[in-house]
Amino acid sequence: MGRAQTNARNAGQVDAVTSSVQTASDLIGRPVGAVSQGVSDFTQGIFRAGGLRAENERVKAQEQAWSLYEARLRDMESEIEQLRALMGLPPIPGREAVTAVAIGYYPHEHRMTLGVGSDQGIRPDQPVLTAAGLIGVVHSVEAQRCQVRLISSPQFQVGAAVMGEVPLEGIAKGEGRDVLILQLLDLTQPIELDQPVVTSGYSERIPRGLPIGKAVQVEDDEQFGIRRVRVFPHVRLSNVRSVVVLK
Amino acid sequence: MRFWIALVVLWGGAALQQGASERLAILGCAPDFLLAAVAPLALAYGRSGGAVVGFFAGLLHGGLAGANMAQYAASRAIAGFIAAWTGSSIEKLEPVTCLIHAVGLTVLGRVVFMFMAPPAQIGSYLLATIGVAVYNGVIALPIYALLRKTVRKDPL
Repeated sequence: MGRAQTNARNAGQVDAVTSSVQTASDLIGRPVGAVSQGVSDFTQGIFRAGGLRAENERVKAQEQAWSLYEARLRDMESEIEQLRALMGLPPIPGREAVTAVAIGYYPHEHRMTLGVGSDQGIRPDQPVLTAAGLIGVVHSVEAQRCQVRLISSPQFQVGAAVMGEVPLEGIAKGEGRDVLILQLLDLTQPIELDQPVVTSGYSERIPRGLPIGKAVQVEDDEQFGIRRVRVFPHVRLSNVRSVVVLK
Repeated sequence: MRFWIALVVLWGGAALQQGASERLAILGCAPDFLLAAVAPLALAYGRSGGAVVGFFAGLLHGGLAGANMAQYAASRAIAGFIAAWTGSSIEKLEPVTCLIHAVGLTVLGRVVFMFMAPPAQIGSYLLATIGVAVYNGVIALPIYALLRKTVRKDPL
């Protein structure tokens, strides 16, 4: 059974037993999740009514500003795509976004289940993010569900860069619940705390510039010529309810 | 009858685990509905029944999380068996006994699991285990109350 699971997972799919369990649980699990979310929202709405109203006003103002900016952004993106096509370069990944709801979160396994799958064009290794930043990549896909490997997973790794005057690029890896470790080979460039860390874009599926977190600690290992930057993610995973998958 | 009750309780536990567990977290400790369901079932069904119920609870939990099911199934089966074994000497089953068993079973199940699949941060995992165990103890009480009405009428 374990071997069947591992083989299916390596192929970006889900084995029959896991799929059956999830399908059976979904019958009640999704309504239960929706009801508990509704109750949670209602309770929070009562206690945070004032703050939510102010936040709503702020979001509306931001939406208006964004609608002006979006048209310009589309023009520029279209121009970039045309220039890349002229130069024979492949298109930039992550142009299309699919919104999804988290229907299961398993912190010990560093996994999240989303209610979208291959029917919506979801494929393994596509990045998953919230408005605050990257939360993981799609790991295995079914027709109407997919599992996300979260950035906290020790198996998670992604090309990342510290955005200073000179971007410093390396590989960021999950390190348990609250932190990622970004390994760099350049020990000479200074890094300031709280500098943003974003994806470096050296991937077929993950575009450049997706926010990951901020640098909170820097350790130099001069013996091995490695610099380790502890990165605190922008997103608090336990609070994530809806996400976007870039495809 | 016992089969159907176990099926319904575990299915309900799986659904709650998927849909409500993380939303009910207090201080980072979310209830483990499937382990909480195993405790009263194991007490009611005896050693072999406890092991079987634990095994399937583990299978469900592993399947839901998309994790390796073997570690979940084995750790829950061991915990279910031991919980039923320690409970077999009890002549009269009281709610407090069920609560204590649910706490003990949760700690045992999670510690056995920890040895089979070591987490990245063992200290925080063990701390969370205490919170989850207390939570499960409370959750096991209504399950026990339900089972008392139904299973107890069925010969154990």
